[in-house]
Formats: sequence, C-alpha cells, structure tokens
Amino acid sequence: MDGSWEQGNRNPSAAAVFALLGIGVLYFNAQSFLAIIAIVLSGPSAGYSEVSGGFLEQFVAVIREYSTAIRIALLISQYLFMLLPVVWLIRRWHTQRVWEYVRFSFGSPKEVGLAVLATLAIMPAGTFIANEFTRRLNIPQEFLEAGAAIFTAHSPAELLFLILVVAVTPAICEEVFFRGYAQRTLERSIDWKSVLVVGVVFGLYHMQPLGLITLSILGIVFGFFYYRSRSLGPPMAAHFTNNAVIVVLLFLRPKVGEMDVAYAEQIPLWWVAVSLPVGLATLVLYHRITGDRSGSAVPAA
Amino acid sequence: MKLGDIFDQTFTLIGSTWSRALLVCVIILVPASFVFIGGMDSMVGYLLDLGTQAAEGEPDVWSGEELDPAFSLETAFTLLARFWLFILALCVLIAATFLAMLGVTIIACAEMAGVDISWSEALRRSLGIRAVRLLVQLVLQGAVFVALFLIPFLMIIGGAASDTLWLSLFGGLGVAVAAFATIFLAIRWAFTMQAIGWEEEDVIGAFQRSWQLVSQNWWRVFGILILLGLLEDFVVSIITMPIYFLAMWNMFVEIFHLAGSGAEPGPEVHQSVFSSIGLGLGLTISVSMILSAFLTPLYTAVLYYDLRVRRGEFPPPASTGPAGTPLPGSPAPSPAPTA
Repeated sequence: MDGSWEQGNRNPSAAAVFALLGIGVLYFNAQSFLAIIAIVLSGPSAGYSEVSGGFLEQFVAVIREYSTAIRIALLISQYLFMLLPVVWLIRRWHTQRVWEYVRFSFGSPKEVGLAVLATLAIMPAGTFIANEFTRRLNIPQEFLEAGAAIFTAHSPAELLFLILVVAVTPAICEEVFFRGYAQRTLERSIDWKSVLVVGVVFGLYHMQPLGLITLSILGIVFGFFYYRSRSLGPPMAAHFTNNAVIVVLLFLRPKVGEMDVAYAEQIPLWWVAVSLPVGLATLVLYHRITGDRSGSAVPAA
Repeated sequence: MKLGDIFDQTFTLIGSTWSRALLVCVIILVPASFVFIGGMDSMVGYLLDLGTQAAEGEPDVWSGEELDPAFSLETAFTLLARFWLFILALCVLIAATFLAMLGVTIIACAEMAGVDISWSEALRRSLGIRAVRLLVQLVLQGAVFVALFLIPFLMIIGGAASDTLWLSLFGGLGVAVAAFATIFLAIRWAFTMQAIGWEEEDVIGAFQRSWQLVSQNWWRVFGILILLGLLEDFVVSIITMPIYFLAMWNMFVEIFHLAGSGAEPGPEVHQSVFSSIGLGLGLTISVSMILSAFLTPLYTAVLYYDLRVRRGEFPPPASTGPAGTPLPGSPAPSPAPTA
C-alpha cells in the first residue's frame, strides 16, 4: 500500500468518510452544472407552446424534450465525477492496484445468480414500503408519471439507451464508489458494520425522502453481497437487476388485472408475503455458500 | 500538516470528542431552538390568520372587531410585535449557536493539547466571561462588515435618486471591493473563537492573535475552510432533508390532496396547507444549526493548531496516532487553561 494516506499512517476510515463527502459534493454540483449545459445546448423548448393541458402535462412534455440531454449528462457525470475521482483517490491515497483494492472481479456464477434472485425477490417488499409513503401522501399518479418521465422509454432503442444510463452505469460507478471503495475501506476498521453504514449513506445520497428506507435496505443488501463474496460482481449484478427491472416496467407498463404494475398505488400484500421469504431464504443461502470471509486483507505494497 | 493530515486529525478529533461536544450543543441549543420555533410558528400563524380573516371578512380573532380590509392599526401593531418577537427569537438562536460553538472549541482545543476537560467544565467556561467577549467580538466584526458595505450602498442609492451614473458605478465598484475586503477579513479573523475560548484573549487581543496566526497562510486557510465548509454543508443537507420532509409532512399531504382534487385554493386551504410551515421550518433550521455548531469548531480547531505548528509554537507532529493523542512535543500550549 504505497499511497500517501497509507504511508502517512493515517486512519483509513477518515479516508473513506472524506472521499464519500468530497466526491458527493463534486458529483452533485458537477452533475447539476452538466445537466444545465446539456439543456442549454439542446436549444429552447417547444413543449410549452405545442402541448395543451395543465402544468403537469407541459412539465412532462418539456422533460421528454430534454430527456436525451439530461440522460447524457447523467451518464457522463457518473463516469467523470464519480468513477474517475474515486479511482484517482485510490491510486493517490492507497495503492496503484486499484482494481485489486476494490475487488473488481466477477465472483462465482452461483453468487451472482443468488444475488440477482434475492434482489428480484426483495423488490416487491421495497416497492411496498415506498408505495406506503406515496399512498399516505396521496400523490396523484400524474405527479408520479411526471417524476418518472426521465426514466421512461418510448421505443426499444430508447429502452436500450436507458438501460445503459440507469442500469449499467450506476452498477459500475456507484458500486465501485460505495462498495468497492467506501465499504472496502471502512471494513478495515469496523468490519461488517461498514455494510450498515455505507448502506444508509447510499440511501441518503439519492436525496429521495420517499425512497430513503427502500434505498437504504437495498444499499445494505448490496453491501452484504460484497462483504460476503469479497467481489464486486454480485452487488453490481444486483444493482443492475434492480434498476433494469424498473426501467423495463416503466416501458412495458404491464397490467395485472386492472393494476398498472409500474404505478400501482399499492403492491398486493400477498406478493410481498410470497416473495419476501424467498428473498430472505436466498440471502441466508448466499451467506452459507460464501462461508466465513471475516477479516479484510489489503493488497500488499 | 498536509491536507490529508488535517482530514485525518479532524476525523480523529470527532471520534474522541463527539459525545461531549454534542452534549454541549444540545444543552445550549435545544432551549434556544424551542424559543425560535415558538417565535417562527407564532409569526407565521398570525400571518395566516390575518390572510384568512381578510379573505373571509371575519372579525379579528384577537380583538373581536370587524377586520378592515385596509388593515387596522391594532392589527398592524400586533403584527409588528410578533415580527420583533421572531427577530428576538432568531437572535437568541444565533447567539446560542455561537456559544455552543465556543463550548465545542474549548473541548476540541483541549483534546488537541492533550488536556482532559469534561463537557460540564467546557459548558461552564463557554457561559462565563468568554461568552461576553465572544459576543462583543462578533458584534464588532459584524459592525465592521456592515460599515464596509454601507458607504457603497449609500452611493448607489444616492446615484439612483439623483440620476448620477458615475456615483452609482463607483458605488457598484465599492460593493465589489467591500465583498473582497469582507472575505479577506473573515479569513483573517477566523480564529478569534480559539483565541477567546482557549487562549483567554480579550476582544482586541483575539482579533490581533487571529490576524497573526493567519499571516502568510491566508490562501491556505481560505482554501481549506472553503473545502471543509462545503463538506460540512453536504453532511448537514443530507441529514436534514429527511427531517425537513417529515417535519413538513402535513403540508405535503395537503398540497398533494389539493393537486389531486383540483379544488380552487381558498383561505381555509391556505390555512391547512401552511399551518405547519412555521414549526417545520423552525425544526429543520434548529437541527442544521446544532449540526453546524458541532462540526465547524472541530475542523477549525485542527487548522488552528496547524497554524500554530507552522509558527513554531509546536514541533510538527510525527504521526497522528490513536484518537485523542495530542500533538507530540511539549511545550504545553500557552497560556495554560485555568479553571
């Protein structure tokens, strides 16, 4: 470990905390700036003049018009202002062997498969919790659709692009940042508790009060996959699965009876009752097949 | 110390002092927060009542008299009184924030110097003569900043009133110069709290001491304070966002209900939507003040000691060591803290 932080005999947890905060400040501000530039470069919107209806209809029309620009800004900012800085920090502060440090490996197919299965099984429960807040706030569906407009595809080509932006990119960039660096570094001092800490921070970072609990649970689950497998493959696969399913559902808008699955006011409780035990059982199985992986070896200098 | 050392020391200092520092902040700021929340809720609530009455033509709820749409004198006096009560409550919160920061500064400096100090001792010291000196210093500093902007603003107003372009232009230039001067002085005087709280300087001595410490390190101090300030703001914002959301829950429920029903907003709707805004905003502001009062003095204390090392008052630290390890190398900081 030949980085300046390691050579200076400093607390690795301090590095993780300041990286989480510093890259967070950089990412949010730069992303907003980049999105504004992208919108300005796209030119003036025709949405207001061409769409009839109220504020929400016009808002959705404007979002659709600028959606490509905003998505490109999101894509670039994840790589440029999250992945690149964390790689630079690891090289500067810890070690030149970045990918070994973050454990950038596929993991075993069994671990990846179980991670994907567990994520799919837990999704109804997570959605149920988020929907509970939505239902108690009486948020009209028009608002929800307006808020999801940026993640809604209207053609197969657009769907593929959205999967790249919303599923593939965060699976790489956010997992390297949160699990590969922050959790990995905190593990060196607080071991398994790093899963909980980084999971909650992951939830807070999304700045979505309605989804805070669901996102924190997801973050803890992804962290659990990483901690047990000692590999980024399973959490990346799980993250990709979660986000890709959401994007596909928004595109397909499947109906179960009268219920629009993508915008259901409330996921049926029996879905949760069936899928959650499956998810928990999968997590237990994952825990068993990954064995005792306590301790946190760091790459040698 | 390099930037990484400052991060590391700050993290270590937070780890070793957080319980005492947070306790001091809570003891000082929670009562002040209640005062502030009460003042804010009272003013917002009265404004809402006025709006509702004016729209419905109902008698004033306090005097029972018919409310003149043109605003009765009694109503005006009551509104003014509530406004000043709100300002007073705000001043109480601001003063309490600085006193809490003083208490945390004492704890942080003691920890950096290897001196054992309890939260009760830090609280006692922060509420004594040091508190008076700090408040006088803050008032003086504020007066200097106001004075810097006063003349340029008067020039702009005078220029606009007399239609004299050059006066307004010079006034505008003066505002820019005043802004730079304010930033320069704010950095130069960034360590007055440590001088008053730890070195027991008087008001003028604190200004001089801070000026001396920052000398030849202005850009370094400016850069590090900006960076750590940004990180602190980020922490405060991600923590207070869910609190804000929960505190304003009723307001959001009413707004979404209104949006979904498509009903025309009327006075009773304004009342139900905004009735909790005073409490919600007051609570959120109070929480963010507590967090800021806790964090800011901790990293400022590390920077304060770094500047003292650079002045040769201490030998440079060999390593950071475990939490609570003071900067190695005597002599003890001067003056030694007294009871």
